[in-house]
Amino acid sequence: MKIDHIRMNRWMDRFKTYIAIIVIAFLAILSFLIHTSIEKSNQQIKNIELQQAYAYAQKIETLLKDRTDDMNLSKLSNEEFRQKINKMLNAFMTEEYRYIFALRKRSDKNLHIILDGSLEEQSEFDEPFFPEDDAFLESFRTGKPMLTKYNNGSEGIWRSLIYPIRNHAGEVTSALVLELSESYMLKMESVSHSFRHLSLIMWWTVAILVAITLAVGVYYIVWYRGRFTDKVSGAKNNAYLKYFSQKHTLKEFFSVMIDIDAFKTINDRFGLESGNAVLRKFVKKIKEEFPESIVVRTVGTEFFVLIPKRVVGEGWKNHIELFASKLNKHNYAIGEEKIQLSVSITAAPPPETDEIDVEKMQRILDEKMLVVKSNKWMKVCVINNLDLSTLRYRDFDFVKTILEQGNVTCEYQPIIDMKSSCSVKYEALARFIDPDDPQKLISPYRFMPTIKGTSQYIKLTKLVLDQVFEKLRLYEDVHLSVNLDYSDLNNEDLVNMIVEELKKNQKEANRLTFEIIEDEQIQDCDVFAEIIGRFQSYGASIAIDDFGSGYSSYLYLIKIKWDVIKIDGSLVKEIIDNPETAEPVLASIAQIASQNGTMVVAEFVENETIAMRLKKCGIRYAQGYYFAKPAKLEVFLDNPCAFPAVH
Amino acid sequence: MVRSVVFWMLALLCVWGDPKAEITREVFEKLLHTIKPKDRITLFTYDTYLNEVLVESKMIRLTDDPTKADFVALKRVEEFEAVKRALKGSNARPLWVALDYKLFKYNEEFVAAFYWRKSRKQLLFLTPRLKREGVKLTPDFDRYILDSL
Repeated sequence: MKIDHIRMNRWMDRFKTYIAIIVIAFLAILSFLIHTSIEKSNQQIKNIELQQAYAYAQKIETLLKDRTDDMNLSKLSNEEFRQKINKMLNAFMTEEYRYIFALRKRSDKNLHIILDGSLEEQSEFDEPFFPEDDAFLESFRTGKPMLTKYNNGSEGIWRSLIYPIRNHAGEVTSALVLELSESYMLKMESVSHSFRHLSLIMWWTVAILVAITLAVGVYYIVWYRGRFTDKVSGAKNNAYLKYFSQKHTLKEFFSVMIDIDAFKTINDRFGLESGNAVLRKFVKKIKEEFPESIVVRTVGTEFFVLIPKRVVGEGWKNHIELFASKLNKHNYAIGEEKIQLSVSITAAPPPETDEIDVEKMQRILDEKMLVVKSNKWMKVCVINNLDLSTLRYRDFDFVKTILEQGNVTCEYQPIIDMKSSCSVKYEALARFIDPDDPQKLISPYRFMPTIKGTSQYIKLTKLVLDQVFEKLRLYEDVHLSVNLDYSDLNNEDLVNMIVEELKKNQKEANRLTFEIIEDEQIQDCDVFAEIIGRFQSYGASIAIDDFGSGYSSYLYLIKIKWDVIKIDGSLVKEIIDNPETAEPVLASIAQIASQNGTMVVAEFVENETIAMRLKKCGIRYAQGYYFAKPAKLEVFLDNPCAFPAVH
Repeated sequence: MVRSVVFWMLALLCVWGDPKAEITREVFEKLLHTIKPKDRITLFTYDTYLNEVLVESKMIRLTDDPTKADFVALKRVEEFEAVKRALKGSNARPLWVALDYKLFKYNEEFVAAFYWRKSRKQLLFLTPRLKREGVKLTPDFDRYILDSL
């Protein structure tokens, strides 16, 4: 599911990018097409207007020549006559034409207005006219119509058409000027204004989208870089790791966890500033060794480093060990002093399965880090791929599913009477059945930390008790024992569940022993005695497990009525290493027990020597690999006295 | 203070971006300075538009007293007569600039004309009048000088 999520994220990111590019490109092309088509249509309108203006000028010219005897000046100088012609010109003035007038060129080469169609501010006859445009004189010179563009001196005019008028001798004596109104052209263009606005809006949209894209780019580069950087060390921070885990799997990376030992002493000695400077140099050093690596400061002086697979490749273990050695030997300058850092490293290769994400990998490396830290001679711990596969047993949901499916069984290890070489009791040991491989039984140490203290733990205890009572019902002569932690007895629900089970199976309860492991110190012996008294009231026996280790003390033997004392393996092993001191201690335990009528069992009996020496100390019952490994109960029941004899 | 700021902003808004105003101011500044090269030229005019345009000029100072003016710019004959009356009895001898072709044509006293015709600026000088007033123009103005109308 996780990997699907990552793929989906990547796919969505790409999808969004492609969509954004397509939308921007589409809008840009569309805007361009609209813009060009508007320009084209406007140009067509203008061309039509100009063609019409030429035709119009031609028509007026014919009329003028006809009415004025080829623009006869002496006739035009007559005010009355001229006004008549001016009125005629005025009749030609439509919305399109701002001015219609006629010019003549005098001998001094200056232009003078001889006719004017405008009724307002009408020019005087032969009034000088300075058009600020050479095209006027050019038209007189060449005798060709000229079209001029609007210039700064002639506002409100879009185009001027200068149309030379020839007399009967073919000489250009005057020119007709038709000036097309700018406001009219704007009006014509206003037809396409809505399209123009649309085009403009689209261009702006494209510009804004491009700006947003650029801004997002800058945001990613600048802001995100800052957001993902640990300000103290300059490495990446946990936020980046989270981001990374959403975008990538670890399949392409070696994972390395580095912890600087006792860094506090550096801070205490040189101050926080110097300490931070060392951290920055430390990160720099890691980057020097693996330039393409991703260095993340997870917490305090702990760093999580991701090294691309291709960088390390074959012989990666040697690479990591060399890397650790370099980090441990490197000198860091603080002022004039030089210091070295002691680092602990755990590393793992790229996982083969997608199930192991960054978080899980950190947990694995973290657990191994505890091992490294507790061993002063160990600086590096490299994990094999195989180790990684066990991680799923620590996954709460995985364990929960196993319990829901009832994939729990028990193996049994016999407790042997060394006098008769027969088994007297069997210790039930819970096992998970691997759902992928039913033959594979998973030891409790792998999953117990995950469920301890949760309702799943009660569920597991009930499943074990159900199976044990079933065996007790099935085999009437058999005695079985189950393990409980002392801390379990503080859980009222669990205690009530056990009492219920005992009540339900009263007939078999007297063949059941609860082995209490003292995982924490017994706070109140009276309360404890009251609880186990409830179990004992149904005929169940109580054993103190791992006696001689941890918190167990002789005080408990005085205060609590035990049915069985199980001597811890660490004490038993001493019988080999330190027999002179161990034997009297074990003998005294056996003596005290025999006086109280308590059964004594020695655990972890691995060989005959241990068994013989225990027997010599007066210990009658033993358990361990020397006699039998845990197995199915039925394996032992066929021949319960087939265990090695102890002489 | 606020009113003054608002006034100037409005005045600027009226003239700013108006090419006709820009041209008018430029031409007037150049013309008057060419005829009378002074740092600060005083002008009297009744014309509202010209007043609005030239109020921003750093070179031309507007006055409401024709006797203190270096130049008088007028559009109509009535204005010309009124100013002539005002000048009577004073030593002031301003130069006359016509803002209309006809006024320039029919009144010999005007030394220059500036007006708009067919949306184009028009400048006009007559050689005899320039000579009479002893005005020498720069070559930029040559094309606007006619010998007669």
